[in-house]
Amino acid sequence: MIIKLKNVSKIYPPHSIALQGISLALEPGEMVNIVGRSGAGKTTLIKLLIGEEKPTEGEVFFHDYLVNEADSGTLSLIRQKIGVVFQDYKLLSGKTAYDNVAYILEVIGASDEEIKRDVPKVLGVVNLEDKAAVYPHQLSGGEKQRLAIARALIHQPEVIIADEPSGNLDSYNTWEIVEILKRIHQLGTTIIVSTHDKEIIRQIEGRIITLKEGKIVSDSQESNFVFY
Amino acid sequence: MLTTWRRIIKFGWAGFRSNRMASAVTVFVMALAVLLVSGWFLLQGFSQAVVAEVENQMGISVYFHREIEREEIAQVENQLEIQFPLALKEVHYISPEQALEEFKERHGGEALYERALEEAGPEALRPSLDISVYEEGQYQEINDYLLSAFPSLIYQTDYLNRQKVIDKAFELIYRINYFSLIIGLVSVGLVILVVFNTVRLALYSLREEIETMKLVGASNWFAWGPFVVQGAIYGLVAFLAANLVFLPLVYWLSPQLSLLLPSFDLWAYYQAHWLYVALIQLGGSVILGKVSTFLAARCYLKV
Repeated sequence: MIIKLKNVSKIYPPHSIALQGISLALEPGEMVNIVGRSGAGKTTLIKLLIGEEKPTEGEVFFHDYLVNEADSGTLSLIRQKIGVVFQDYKLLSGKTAYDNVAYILEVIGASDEEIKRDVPKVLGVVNLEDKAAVYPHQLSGGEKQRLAIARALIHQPEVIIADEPSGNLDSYNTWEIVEILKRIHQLGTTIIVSTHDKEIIRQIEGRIITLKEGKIVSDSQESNFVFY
Repeated sequence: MLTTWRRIIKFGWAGFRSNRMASAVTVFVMALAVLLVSGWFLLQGFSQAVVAEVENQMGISVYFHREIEREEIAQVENQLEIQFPLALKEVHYISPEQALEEFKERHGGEALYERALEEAGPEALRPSLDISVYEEGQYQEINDYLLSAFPSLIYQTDYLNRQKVIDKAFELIYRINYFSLIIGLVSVGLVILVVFNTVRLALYSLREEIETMKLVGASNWFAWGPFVVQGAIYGLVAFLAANLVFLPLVYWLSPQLSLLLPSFDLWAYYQAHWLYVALIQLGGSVILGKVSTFLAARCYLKV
């Protein structure tokens, strides 16, 4: 088991319930869609997985690490094993595309040679090799999303989490993103995609966990789900 | 570890270069702070020189009757040294001839003084002892001793005439020291507040970047280290910028101050203390920059 949530609830003050009694377990190599309408609790769930938020109740595990009790150092180590594609990209605006991707390798202590070797390769995977010297504000939405994916996969994490990866992208860019995620999954990486985009859910085959008003209302392998 | 340090320094330098406007404002404020503290240090030197000057001007002059021989006055000196072995700083004998020389030197060419000397005659000047002590309170004691022990030798002492001046001078010295201490403390407090807030403002725009760094796995040190390095660079550049103004200013001010207080040479004082001044400037600005950025960046590391 790579990720496990035990009876997790998250209530934002004063009484806004984001998640309620969530329990689930993810196996290594799984492709998981977390689906639900806006406000269903998808982003809160992701924030709990990477320790950005702490649950009001319950426990979040990454392997044997209890994420919600982890100290700063342990949390850094956990985050280094998870690649996240944030809904708002969260790219470092003062760094070029190349440096944004290289930053992750620098964080984990990779050598300069490894950085020089791997960063262009990964930029090539997301078709951004010609944008290496460009700053995030000079990129289109699709390019930012692809750069965020490049950053998430550069260090070959055990898990990649993509929060609303289609965002405001057009259908071609969305298809491209999904194809990249599928390719990464084929290499054995656990992928968690949070989305409300039916097209993405249709394209990504795998487990589908549906959230409604902070609760899991279905958890299945079928793709012919319905939004609650 | 070495690689991590190298990268932290590299990021710090890159941050300093990329946020040019914020860096310029921060360096400007820090340079002003360095100038203020350095100025305060030199003011200390100046006030010490003023104190020394005032102290040198103090003392008792003991005037003897004209017929008193040098040997008798030497005995007075000996008695003084026996009675007040630790209190005496200096006892200086001035013969009537020396007094005349000094009078001519000081007032030569001044018609009023020359006429007064002609009318009174050179014999008007008396032998005297100039006495100075280490502590102000001992003047009264010595004056009383001299008047009671050698009433037949002494024509007069000028202690009573000088007493008010002496009291005022010491009060002035006390106030100078007191106020310069208060001004110094207030300045340092203001400097810390202003620099801290300037740095915090400079980092405020980067708070999302710091949060992102944390979210993608950077340790606290890896995320805030570059900002601490950036703070140190602010300090270093502020130190250099401040000295571009400070050194010519001191050089220019030195002769101007010597007109006010001939015994004080500001440039020589600076040269004698340059290492100390440089350490205060460099250490103060770099530490201030580092601590300010550390505290400011820490606010954004709670993710």
